[in-house]
Amino acid sequence: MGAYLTRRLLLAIPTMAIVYTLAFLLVHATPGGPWDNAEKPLAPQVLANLKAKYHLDDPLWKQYVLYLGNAVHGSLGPSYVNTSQDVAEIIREFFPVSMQLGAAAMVFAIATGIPLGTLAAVYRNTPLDYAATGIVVIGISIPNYVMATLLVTVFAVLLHWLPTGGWRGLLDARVLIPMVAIGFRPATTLARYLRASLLEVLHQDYIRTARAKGLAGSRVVVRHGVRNALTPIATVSGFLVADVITGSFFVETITRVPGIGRYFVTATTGRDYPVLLALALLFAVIIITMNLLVDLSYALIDPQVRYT
Amino acid sequence: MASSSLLEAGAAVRRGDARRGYRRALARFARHRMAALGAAFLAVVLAVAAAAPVVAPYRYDKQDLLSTYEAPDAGHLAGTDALGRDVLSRLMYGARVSMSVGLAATAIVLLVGVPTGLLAGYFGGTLDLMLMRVVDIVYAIPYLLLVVLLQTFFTAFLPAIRAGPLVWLRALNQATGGVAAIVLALSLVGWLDVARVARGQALALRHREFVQAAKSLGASEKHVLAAHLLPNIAAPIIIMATLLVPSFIIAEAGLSFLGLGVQPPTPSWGIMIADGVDAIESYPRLVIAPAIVLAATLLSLNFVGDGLRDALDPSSER
Repeated sequence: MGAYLTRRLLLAIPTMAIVYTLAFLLVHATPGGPWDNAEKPLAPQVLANLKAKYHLDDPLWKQYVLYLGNAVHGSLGPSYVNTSQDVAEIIREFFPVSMQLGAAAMVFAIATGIPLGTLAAVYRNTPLDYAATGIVVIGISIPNYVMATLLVTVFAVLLHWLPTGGWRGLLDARVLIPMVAIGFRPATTLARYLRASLLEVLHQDYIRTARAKGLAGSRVVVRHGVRNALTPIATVSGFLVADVITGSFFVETITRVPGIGRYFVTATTGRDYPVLLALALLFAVIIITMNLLVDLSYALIDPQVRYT
Repeated sequence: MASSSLLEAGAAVRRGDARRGYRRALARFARHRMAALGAAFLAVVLAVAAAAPVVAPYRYDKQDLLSTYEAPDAGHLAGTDALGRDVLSRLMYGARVSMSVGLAATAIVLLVGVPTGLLAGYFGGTLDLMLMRVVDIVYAIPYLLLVVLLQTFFTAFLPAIRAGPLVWLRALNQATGGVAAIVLALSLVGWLDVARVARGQALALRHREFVQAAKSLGASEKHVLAAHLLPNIAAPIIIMATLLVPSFIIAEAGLSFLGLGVQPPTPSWGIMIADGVDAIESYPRLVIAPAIVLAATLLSLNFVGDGLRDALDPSSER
């Protein structure tokens, strides 16, 4: 287990290096910046000072090394637009909100997706299955920003059951719309994969044995079926995390949640390149970590899997 | 006596079979009816997109600041937006952006991805190794994040091209209101996925008997690839293409929603949703209209894809 973990962590280094290089080059190749203002151009002297301050006149390789060195020490550079905070402070302020929302969305996805997929498999080819399939089709085809706007329109604007946006922590009703909007697609993805894998498992001999020895139907499905059907589910969880991250860009913007996703969007439109670069790295780290956790969780779900 | 009860039992089983077969046929029929419905809707959207300058009642950028936020009436069937522009006309022109991005990006990723994947899977070697490394790395980054970064680059880079061999790209981008940049960013990442699938298919087929037979009869590698592999991977590739079109449409509307897509005043359903969100509390119809049209288009594409899958690959019964 320890050796496996070390190997995986070492393998993550080249991936991160390439992500960093790619993002760095892209950000530095992009012409223009936040100081390009067609109506009120900055004085050349001011521009020169700004460039000197942010080391933009140094050769590219020097900037590349400098940023990397600082990043390893936890300093992610300044924000071009938000001069009162550096990028590390911005992440500390905005990231926890997105973490909470993302976790809530994942919990929602698991809590609805697994029962939905189980019911669809157990009641295969009945109206219940077709209804579940219908929900899955909606989840696959409708992007989260459309889902968010529709939810806000129906539940906030028309019915007045919920506020249209904002954020007051996990225990406030404001969390509901963004949570469902982000978690809906992951929930349907889970349901779809679970249905397929459960259908396979339910045809196995040990299920027949369990039924034959007189176990109650629900117990057979949950204890013997779902548990064994979960392995393929772990595989898709990596995609789900990516879904939750990119979902936060749109949904946080629409529902005015002050999270890192919304900040990322502001940074793209404000051409705040250091923030873009740092956040791209942050998202890559999260994805790689989650994929690693998923692989490790196989061992918990499936005792046949041993890491050596 | 015994035989007659057996016969009865057999008949009962057959009746059950028939009923189950009938029910399955019904379910399949229902699926295909949705596919037909979706195809009809898509035909309308495509026709409107192609004929937008003729059928749209107004131009997409015609402002009327004296009648902003007008409710739907005879003059403006879907009302007007914050600048007094006709919402129906903008939806029609928006269909142009969505459809052209979806189709153009899909065409490009197929043209690049299928040959690359085919060659990598069939011959293996360095090309295959490089392809798989790139795929591995790109899979560690969310697709949309990568596209957002690329698009941030292209929206600033393309208009800045003043001379050189890429000037035509700038002109194309300007003429299409930014569509060229989106197609470029989407296909630059998207072709990898197609290549991966084509590679997997080629890998699975290259040791099959019919390929070996063709080779032992003296067929050239070129002939094997073109006449034996390509037709055999056509079905999974077509099925994949039906999923690519909606994913590109989703990405385009998403980028435009973020302000990284088409350049205003060119209308895109994504921009219309973003604009509508600003006034969602007073005029929800401004966000509902593009959201519904986009959702209906995506659902239709999905149903058509399902129908095609059933038609092309009968073994994939769910």
